[in-house]
Amino acid sequence: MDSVAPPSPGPGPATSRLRPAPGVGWAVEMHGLLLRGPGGARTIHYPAAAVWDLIARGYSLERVVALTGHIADLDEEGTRALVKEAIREWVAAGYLEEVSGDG
Amino acid sequence: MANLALTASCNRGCGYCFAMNYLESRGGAKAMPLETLERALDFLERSGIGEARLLGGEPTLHPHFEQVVDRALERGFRLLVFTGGLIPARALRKLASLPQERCSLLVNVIPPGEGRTAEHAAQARVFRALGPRVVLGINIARPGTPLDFLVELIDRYGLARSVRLGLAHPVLEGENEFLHPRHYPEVGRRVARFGALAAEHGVELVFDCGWVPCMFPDGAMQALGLGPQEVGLRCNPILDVMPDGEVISCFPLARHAVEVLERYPDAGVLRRAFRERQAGDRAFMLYAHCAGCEHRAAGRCSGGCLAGSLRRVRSTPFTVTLPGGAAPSGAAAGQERGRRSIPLPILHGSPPRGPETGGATCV
Repeated sequence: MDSVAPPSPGPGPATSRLRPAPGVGWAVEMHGLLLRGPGGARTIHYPAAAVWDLIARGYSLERVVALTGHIADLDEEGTRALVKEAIREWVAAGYLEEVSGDG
Repeated sequence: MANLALTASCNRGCGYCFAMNYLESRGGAKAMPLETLERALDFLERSGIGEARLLGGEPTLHPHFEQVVDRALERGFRLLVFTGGLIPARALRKLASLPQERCSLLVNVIPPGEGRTAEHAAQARVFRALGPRVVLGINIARPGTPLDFLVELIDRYGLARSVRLGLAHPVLEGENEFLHPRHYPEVGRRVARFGALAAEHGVELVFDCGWVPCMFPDGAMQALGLGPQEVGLRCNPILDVMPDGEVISCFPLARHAVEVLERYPDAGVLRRAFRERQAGDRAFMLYAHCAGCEHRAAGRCSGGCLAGSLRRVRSTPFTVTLPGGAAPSGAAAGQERGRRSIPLPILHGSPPRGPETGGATCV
């Protein structure tokens, strides 16, 4: 379960790679996912919790969008907005950080 | 309360042991030097702790065990010795010579069907020699760990009419045998039955750390006379002093943080320091359903053993690649979206239906 598939390269010219910041940990909870990190611990509710869980399980972003759409019963546009907003928020809160250089 | 780990040596090989892996992995003194013992006793003294609790490894294997005992008693401490019950003859004679009110032993008993015949015989010698000084303790590592025999042993050898029940907790970052939380309800039912037998025989049950109320059948906690202080809120820094004078919160969390006695005026301050470090981790609890539990909401449970809870935490590194900013590409996603037979990943709980946003809530 903890094995990580290599990230699938996203199409398009400019890509950025993100990873959990040091010390970040998470556990599945009844209401979603409990995330521990630099900003303390916070609960991420479904369906955003599913986004984190799927990414952490090594699913490609495309697959995450597809699966989250099923989970949340959203159309493609709505799902993409949800995923984008969730990731933006995790970056802003310091749970995800950009991988720089060859890191 | 604080425990003094006198030695890293042990003459038992319990699969669930949460101490030995850590003790053996440490460099430095394998047996607590007498000058370190004095520093540890100073610490207990200035903390207002009147009981020196000796553990190991097997504390009676300390090469100067008799001196350790004498020194602690001279300084006015009462002794509680945590032992596996395979006590060398000289140490046993020493313990038998002590007044009962100054020393008791918690003997980690070998259940029937486990251990060697010689080990059972050695424990029986200890029971005969020390009688009412002995409190039986058992660590439940399997759902079927027998309990009724404890009452029989107490009656046969005239031991203290008290049994200490421990759960075998996992060592964080360790590989010990432990009772998986999914088996807790079964153990809770067995303990409730055993409690009735113990009560018939006038035997009191004492619960070690990490028990949770949801493992017991309805009404069992009241029948056993248990409140949140005994079951539910018992996961706190114990303070275990290592042979070299370093201090850990408890063995299951040993690799989490290490301190030194001298940096702290007393046990209260040191315990607070450990609590503060663990505060962020306390948000994690034993089960996924703890977040919605009535016992937790009512302040009757803190979520079980912290080491057990933290074993649920994942921190496996991963990377996610974002094409052209933070939005996934549409083409592949659209194709996936059209495939209705995509198996959903296993997720606990019910995902909400509808366009709920991914808002995060501080806890």
